[in-house]
Amino acid sequence: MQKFRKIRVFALFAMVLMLAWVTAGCGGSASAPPAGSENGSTTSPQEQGTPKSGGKLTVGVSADLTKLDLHGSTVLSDRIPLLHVQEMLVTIDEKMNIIPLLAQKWETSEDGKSVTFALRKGVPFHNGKEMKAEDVKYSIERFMQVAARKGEFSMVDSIEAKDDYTVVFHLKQPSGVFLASLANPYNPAVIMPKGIAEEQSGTITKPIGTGPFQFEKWEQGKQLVLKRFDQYASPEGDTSGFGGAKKPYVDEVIFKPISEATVRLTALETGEIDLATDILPKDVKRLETSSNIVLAKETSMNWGYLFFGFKKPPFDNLKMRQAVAYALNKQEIVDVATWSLGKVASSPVYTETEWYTEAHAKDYQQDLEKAKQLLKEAGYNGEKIVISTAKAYDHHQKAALTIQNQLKKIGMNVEVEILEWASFISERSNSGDYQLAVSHITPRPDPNQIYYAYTHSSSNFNGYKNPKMDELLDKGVTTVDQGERKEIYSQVQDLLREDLSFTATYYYPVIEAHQSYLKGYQSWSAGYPRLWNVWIDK
Amino acid sequence: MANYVIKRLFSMIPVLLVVSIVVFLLVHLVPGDPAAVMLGAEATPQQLAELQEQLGLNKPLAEQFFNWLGHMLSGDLGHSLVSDKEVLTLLWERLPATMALIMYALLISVVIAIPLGIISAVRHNTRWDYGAMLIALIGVSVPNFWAGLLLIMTFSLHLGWFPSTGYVDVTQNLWKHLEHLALPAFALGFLQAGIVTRMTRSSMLEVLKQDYIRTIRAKGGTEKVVILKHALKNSMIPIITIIGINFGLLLGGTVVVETIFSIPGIGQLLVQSVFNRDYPVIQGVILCVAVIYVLISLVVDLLYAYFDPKIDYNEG
Repeated sequence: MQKFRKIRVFALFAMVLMLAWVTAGCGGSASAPPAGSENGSTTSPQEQGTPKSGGKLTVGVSADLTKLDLHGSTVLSDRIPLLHVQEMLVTIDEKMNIIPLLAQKWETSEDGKSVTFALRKGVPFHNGKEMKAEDVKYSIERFMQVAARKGEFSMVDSIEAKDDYTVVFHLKQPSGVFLASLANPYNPAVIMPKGIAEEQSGTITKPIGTGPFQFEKWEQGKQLVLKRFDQYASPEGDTSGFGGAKKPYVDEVIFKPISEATVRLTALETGEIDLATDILPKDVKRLETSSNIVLAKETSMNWGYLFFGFKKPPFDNLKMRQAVAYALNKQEIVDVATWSLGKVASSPVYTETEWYTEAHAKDYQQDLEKAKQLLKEAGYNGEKIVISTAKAYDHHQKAALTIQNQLKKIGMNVEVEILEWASFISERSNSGDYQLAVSHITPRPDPNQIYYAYTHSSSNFNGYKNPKMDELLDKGVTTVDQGERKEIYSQVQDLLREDLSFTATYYYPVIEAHQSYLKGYQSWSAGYPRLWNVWIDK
Repeated sequence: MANYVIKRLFSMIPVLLVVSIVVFLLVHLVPGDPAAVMLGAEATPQQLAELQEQLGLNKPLAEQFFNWLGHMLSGDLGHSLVSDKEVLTLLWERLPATMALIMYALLISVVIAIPLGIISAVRHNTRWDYGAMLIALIGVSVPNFWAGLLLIMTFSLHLGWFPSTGYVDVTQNLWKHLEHLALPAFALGFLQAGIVTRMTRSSMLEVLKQDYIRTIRAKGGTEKVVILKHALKNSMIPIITIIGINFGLLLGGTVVVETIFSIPGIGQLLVQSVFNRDYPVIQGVILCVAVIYVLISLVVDLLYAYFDPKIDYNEG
């Protein structure tokens, strides 16, 4: 008896230690991305017969929502479903240009310090009330108070509801990025009815918006259910991005979190779900032979990077960074990390966007002799170099291992350190405590949103500092003329390529798959599945 | 008896206190900052500091601990840093799925293990014994994430008998509830079955060698009476002990199985909270698991008295 009791006390502590060990992240699953996982979608054929209403659409997603309050949210798994429920003043189209959504049009004053929005009339919220200027003022003001990413609106001085359908934003100084901040789904300043948070005791527990679907219920860890909003007032024009004509057809959309990619795929194959997001590149071959499943894949605006740490040797030395740049074979990284489904990236600016210029196309070409020469000049003597990466995404590790291999070829002594996501973010990425870091970044509508955060000396973490770069970036923020800004970000990219604070390596593919009876589905390289204009035909 | 139970319940307090200290320290000393995870890679140092303050993470660790302990003693496990929901509510929502899963796993393991253990003990060193031990060995050796994936491949994908993921509450639809939990319960229960089979076998073998078994046989007791009435009952103490201990193993196993099968239980909650460094939820889940475990120990102790009349808690 006594013996058994002792065993049990021991077992209790063994168990607690085991759970704590799991907690410590040593056992982190390689295929379960954290809530912030940001991947995307692709294109399926257009002409698919006559749309019809009805039916339930079940979507298997890689992560559950973390909360129902988009203003306070920071993760993609909240935005994907909730951007079906709530909409923004302006938004992005397929190629990330800024287009109207709840606003009809806007005008910037001559001094550039105020922007006036004319709202669309007759747009109802799900609670039946009409969306008006006061709601916009309330929502953006709330965002500026509670959002983790409220810094995006630091240029806003005040918001004025001039009349029911006119909102004026007064800015502290002219801003070239204000509209992009309003449109950026990464910091979703969605419009909610005035007073909603107060009615729901501070936090949003039942989101209300103007979107094509309305919130029905959320059973955490199990499912989120949305219902079609029949009174939905769609914007006009061609469907594109989050804008244009949007029509909800299915009665219900159910988002089911299935974190294991393999299981998500199986659920699709067994017919338990109708659409699966975040399919792994390795499973593509298997799906291509299936007759009931339609595969949608294309490159996305998600881009992989290799960052240099300036805070400690040896990459505070330009020659060392250049040596690495000349040693890289980006096509090989694409082949390994994305199973050749992605494509080579020479800049964080995506090839299909308005901002892409010649400057973004230029890149280092692999030259092993030159790389070795640069190493010699830098005085490198086989010191150990560590590439830090995270295990949350399969492609990070594969990219890191490929880069390790390529650097070994020029005689560098390279090791790869694979951390769990949270540790990677706080101990490496955000502290700048690394020599080389490999990860990826999700798309943003405006180049400033990448370049400023990652290269300006006031906000980057890797210790890179060049006054000329800071000056260019500051100019990019305050310049209002978009043509001029395009030129500025070409210069930024040129300077970045010279200084090598980081280099973009690959665009990761977006891979989704759905049942063949799901019609009208169009995936999007920005990485948001959209379930309007989609119907079930079976 | 009642006195004994009360005494045992009180003795839980120091155990849980130690558990809570260990858990709090481990959780907070692990690298990774919830604010950094929430804000992602491009948070500015200023944004980070603001969020840390908002979440109360900039206070000294000792202050955070006593704050948490104080609230915990008054029954408040705090709020999730990520979803802002109360930890108690989260646990309450998630416990039914986990408890159902564990109960079925336990049931499956006992139904497989006890007969298998008895057969291999009674037919000691025969083909029956080797066969049963082979099954037990497989059970002990196969990791449950792999068993889970194999089961999904076979029974969902190829045969289409069971759904591969999800959960239906027992109050909604009993049949669907069982259908959804069949594969995960088997994945979880199979490992347990292996261990219990081996324990049953060795415990039975020991008892079968005892003089009183020979006496019963000599008195003309049939094999059925010998094995089921006398040998099995007397072998039960080590068997229920191992079942009790393994309850903890099952609780730990839910972390993996619930993730694979997308079951909204506390195992899945723990995994997500760990990824997000949602400290209050992690602490809440582990504490909850510890409480369940200690309670199970008590139940096991009370069962001893049933199986072995020599054990009497009334004597104090």
